[in-house]
Amino acid sequence: MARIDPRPGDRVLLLAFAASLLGHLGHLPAWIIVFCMAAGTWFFLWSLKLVPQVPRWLRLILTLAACAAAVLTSGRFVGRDVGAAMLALMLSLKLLEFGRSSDRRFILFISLFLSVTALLFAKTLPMTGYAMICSGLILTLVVRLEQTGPDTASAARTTALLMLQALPLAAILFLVFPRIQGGLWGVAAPAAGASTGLTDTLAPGSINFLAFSPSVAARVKFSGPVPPSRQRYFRALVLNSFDGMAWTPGWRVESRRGLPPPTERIEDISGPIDYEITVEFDHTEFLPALDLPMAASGNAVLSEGFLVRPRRPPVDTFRFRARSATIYRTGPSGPPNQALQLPETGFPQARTLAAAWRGMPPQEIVRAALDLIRREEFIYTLSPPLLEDEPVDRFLFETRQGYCEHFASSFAVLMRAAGVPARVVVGFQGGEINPLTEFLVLRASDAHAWTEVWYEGRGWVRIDPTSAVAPDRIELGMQATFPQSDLPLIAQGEAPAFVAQGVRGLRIGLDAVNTFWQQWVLDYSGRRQMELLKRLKLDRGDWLGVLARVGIVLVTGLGILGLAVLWRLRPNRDSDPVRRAMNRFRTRLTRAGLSTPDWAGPRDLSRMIVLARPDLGPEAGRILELYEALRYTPNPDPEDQKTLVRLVRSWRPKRGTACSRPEGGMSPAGR
Amino acid sequence: MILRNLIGRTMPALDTFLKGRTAGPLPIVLTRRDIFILPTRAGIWFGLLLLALLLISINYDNNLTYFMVFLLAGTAFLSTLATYRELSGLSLVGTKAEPVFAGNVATFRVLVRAGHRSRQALDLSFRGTATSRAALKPGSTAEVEIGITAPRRGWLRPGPVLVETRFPLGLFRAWSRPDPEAKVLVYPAPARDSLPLALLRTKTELGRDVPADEFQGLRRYRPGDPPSRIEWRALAREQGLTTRSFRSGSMIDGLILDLAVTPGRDLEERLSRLTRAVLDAHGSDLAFGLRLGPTFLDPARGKGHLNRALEALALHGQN
Repeated sequence: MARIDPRPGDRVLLLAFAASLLGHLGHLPAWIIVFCMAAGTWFFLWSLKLVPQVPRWLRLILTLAACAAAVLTSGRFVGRDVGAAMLALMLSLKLLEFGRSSDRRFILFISLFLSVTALLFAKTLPMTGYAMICSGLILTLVVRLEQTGPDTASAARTTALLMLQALPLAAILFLVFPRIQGGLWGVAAPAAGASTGLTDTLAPGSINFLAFSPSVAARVKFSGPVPPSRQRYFRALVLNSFDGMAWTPGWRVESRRGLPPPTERIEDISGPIDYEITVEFDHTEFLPALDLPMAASGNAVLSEGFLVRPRRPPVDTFRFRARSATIYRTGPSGPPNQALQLPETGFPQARTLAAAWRGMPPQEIVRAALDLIRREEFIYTLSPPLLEDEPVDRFLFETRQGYCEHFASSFAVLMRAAGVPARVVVGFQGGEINPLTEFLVLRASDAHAWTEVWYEGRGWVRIDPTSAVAPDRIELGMQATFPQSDLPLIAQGEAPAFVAQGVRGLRIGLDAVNTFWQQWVLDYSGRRQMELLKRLKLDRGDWLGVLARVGIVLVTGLGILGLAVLWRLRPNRDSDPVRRAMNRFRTRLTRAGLSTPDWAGPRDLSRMIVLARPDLGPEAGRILELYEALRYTPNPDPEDQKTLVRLVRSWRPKRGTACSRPEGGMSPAGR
Repeated sequence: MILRNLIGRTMPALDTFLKGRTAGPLPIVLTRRDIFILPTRAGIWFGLLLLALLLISINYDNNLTYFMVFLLAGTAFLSTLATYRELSGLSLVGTKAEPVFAGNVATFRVLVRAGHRSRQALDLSFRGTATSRAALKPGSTAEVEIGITAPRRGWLRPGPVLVETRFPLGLFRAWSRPDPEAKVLVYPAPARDSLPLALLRTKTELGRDVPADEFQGLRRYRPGDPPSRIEWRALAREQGLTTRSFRSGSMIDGLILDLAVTPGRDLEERLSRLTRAVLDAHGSDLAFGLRLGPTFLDPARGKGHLNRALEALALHGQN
C-alpha cells in the first residue's frame, strides 16, 4: 500500500482518540495520558506539515519502551489496567506512524474498543451514556470515511438512525443472552488505593471524613421485615491490633491464597434473617454483613472474625446472599489470642484508670466504662478537635469530643488495659429505607465503628460506646443525629424544612433510579435472567429452552429488519401532488374496467373515456382539463391543483356501462 | 444448457445468482434478486473486535459492556440493510460511448437514475477498470464516466457494469452486475507514418480519374451538408436552403483507397495504414472512396463519410 499524507479531514481522528481516552482518565497512569497527548499533538502538527514524521527507529524504541513501561506500571501482563494502557499506547503509536488509508479505520475501531472498555472501570449511568455518545461519534466518523464528500451532519443522522433502530435489538439480546457465572479467566483485582470507602486501618479521622460522603455503599434487600435500626449493625472489618495511634486487622486481610476459615460456631437465639446485599465497587474490599453472619452464598465465604469475604477479589459491584443472627452466642471457645494486645508504652492515664477496674467481672468493667462516658459529658460531634499525640488519653481526659471511631478505639483500649478481651469492629450502622424500592440503603456516611468484648462462656458481645453518648445515632440513624445544616448536601445556614424534605425526596428518587439501574442493568445476572425467563415460561434449561431464546433474538432481529424494509419499501409517495392525483385517477379508471394505454395524453384519454363510458365523460373531462392546464400553461394556478386533487379524491367511477351517477359527485363542500 | 434454460424460466433469482449478472431490457432496475451482500475485510475485523468485547463482558460479568456489545452488533447488523438499500431501486438507464482508436481509452458514460432515495456512495466499474464514484440526490440522474483502454479494433464489449457500495459503515459490501450490453466501436489504430495516397488507390479498371467536384446542380439542403457547399446566394434570394451537389458515382470517383493494394505485413498493419490514409484524406478535405474486399464505399467527403469509412475499417473481417 502506498503511503498517504494526512488530509485535513483526518484531524477528526484526534477527536475519536481524545473522546475514547477521556473515559479512562480516572485510572490511566499519568505518564500514559501525557504520552497520548504528546502523540496527538505531534500528529496534529504533522498534519499541518509543521513537523516531520517520527523516524522509524525512534518509533520502534518508543513502542518497546511504552509496552515495557505499561507492564511494569501495572505489574501484570494481562488484565483490565494493562489492557487499557496498551490500547491507549497502541492508538498513540498508530497516530505517530499514520500513513496508510486503512490506518484511519484502525484508529477508529480501536478507539471504539477503548471507549467501551471504559465501562469496566466505572459502572455508572453517566459513563454508560458517555460510552454510547462516544460510539455514536466514532461510528459517525466511520460513515464519514465511506461518504463521497465528507458531510458530518448527514453522517451523524445516518449513525443515529442505525443506532436507534438497534436499541430494541440490543435490549432483547441483553435480556436473553445466556449469562455465564464466573469469569473465563482470573479476574484482576482492582488497583490498590482505588477504594474511597472503608480502609483496613482505623486512625483518628478515617471514618470521620466518610460522614460527609452521600455515596451509596451498599443496598440490602431483606427477605422478611427490615430489622429496627438499633439491630442494623453491618460488620465489615475486625481490628485486633493497636499501635498507640491506629487500629489494624492484625492479620493479612487480602491473602491471595484462600482465607482463614471461621473457627467459632454461632448459636442463633433470635432466629435467622435472610437478606441479599449489593456492595458498591468502591467498598468491596470488605463485604459488610449483618451482625452476625452464619452462612453466605456461593461467591462469598465466611471467614475468621465472623466476616464475609469474596471468594475472588471482586472487580466491581458485588452481590451475595447471607443469613444472619441478631441475638447469638459465639460459643465457648477459648479466649481469643490478640484480643489483649496493647503497645508497651503510651496512654498512661487510661492505663491507670483501667488498672483500678482489674479483677472485677467483665460485665461490671464494661458498665463502669460506659457510665464514665455518660457521666463525663462526652460530646458526639463530626468535627472533633485534632488529637496529635496520645490520642487515647487526650480524648478520654481532655477534649471529650469525638466521633464513633474515638469512642470505639478508646473503649477497646480501656477494656484491654483492664484485662477484658476486646476488639474494634468497623462497618455500617443504621441506613435509610427507600420507601419506593423497600431497599435498605447504606451510605458511606453510615460508616460506623464499635467494640466487641469477649465474655467467658458467651463469646463475643457487641458493645457500642457511641450509643452511650448519642443514642439517636443508633436508634434513628445519621439523619436524626445531626441537624440538616450539618449535612453536606445542604448549604450551611438555616435551610427551610421543605428544602431539606425536597432534597431528601430527590435523593430517594435518585436512589430508586439507581436501584433500578443496579437491579436490571448492573446486576442482571444469570439468576435474575432465569427469574425473568421463568416469568415468560422460557426457563427450560434443555436445548429447547436455548432454542427458544435464540428464536426470540432471531425473530426480534428479523422483525426489526422486516419493519425497516417495509418502511423503506412502502409505496413510494410521489412528491408531486399532481402526478399523485393522476396516478390515482388512472388506477380508478382501471378499476372501473377501462384500461388506458400509458402513452395517452390528457386529450386522447378524454376522448377514449367518452367513447368507452359516456357516463364518466363529464367528470373525467373536467379532471383532464385541469391536468392539462396545470401541466401545459406557463403559470398554472395553484388553486387548480387543489381542485384537481379534490376532484380525483371524490371521483369513484363504477364498473360497467350503465349511466350511473358517480357517488360523491362534484360537491366541492368544505374539503 | 437445457437445465440452464429451465432454471432461467422457473427461478430467475437463482439464474441471476448463477450468472452473477442481470441482463434485460434497459433501464435495469436493481431489485433484491440482483443485489448480493457480504462482509468486507473491515467487517470481519469489526466482528472480531465485538467478539473480543463479548469475551471481556463474559469474563468480567459486566453488563454494561454486554449492552454496548449488543448495541454495536445490532448497529452492524442493521447496517446491512442500509448497504442493501443503497443499491435497491437504483436504475441503470443505459450507456454511451464515443468510438475511439485502438490503444486509446474509451470513455463509457453510464447513466444511472437514483429513484426516490439518495445514493451516497456508488462505485461503478467494468471488469478490470478503475472504479468511478458517484453520489446522487433523490430523483436525479447522473452520468458516471468509466474509462477502459481499447486494445484492438472492432466492437469492445466491456460486459456487465459492477455497481458496488460499502456505505454506511464499510462493514458490508453490496454489489450488483447489471449488464446494459454496453459496446463501443474501436477503429484501427492509425499508422504513425503517412504513405502517399497515390500508393493506396485502387488498381481496378473501374476507377478512372474524374475531377472530384464535378458540379451536378442544386438540390434541397439536407442536414449534414457542409456549409461550404450551401448556395448562400439562393438563400439570399429567399429560395430556401440549397446545396450545390457534385457528381460522385461508383464508376466515377476520385480517390479510392483499396485494402488490396495497401502494403503491410499483415491485415492489421494494412488496415492501420489505410486508417491513417482515410484520416489524411479527410484532413485535406479530399473526397475518397474505400474498398475493403467486398465492401465498397462511394467516394465522398465530410465527417459522416469519415465515420462510415472508419466503421468499415474497424469491422472489416469481423461479423
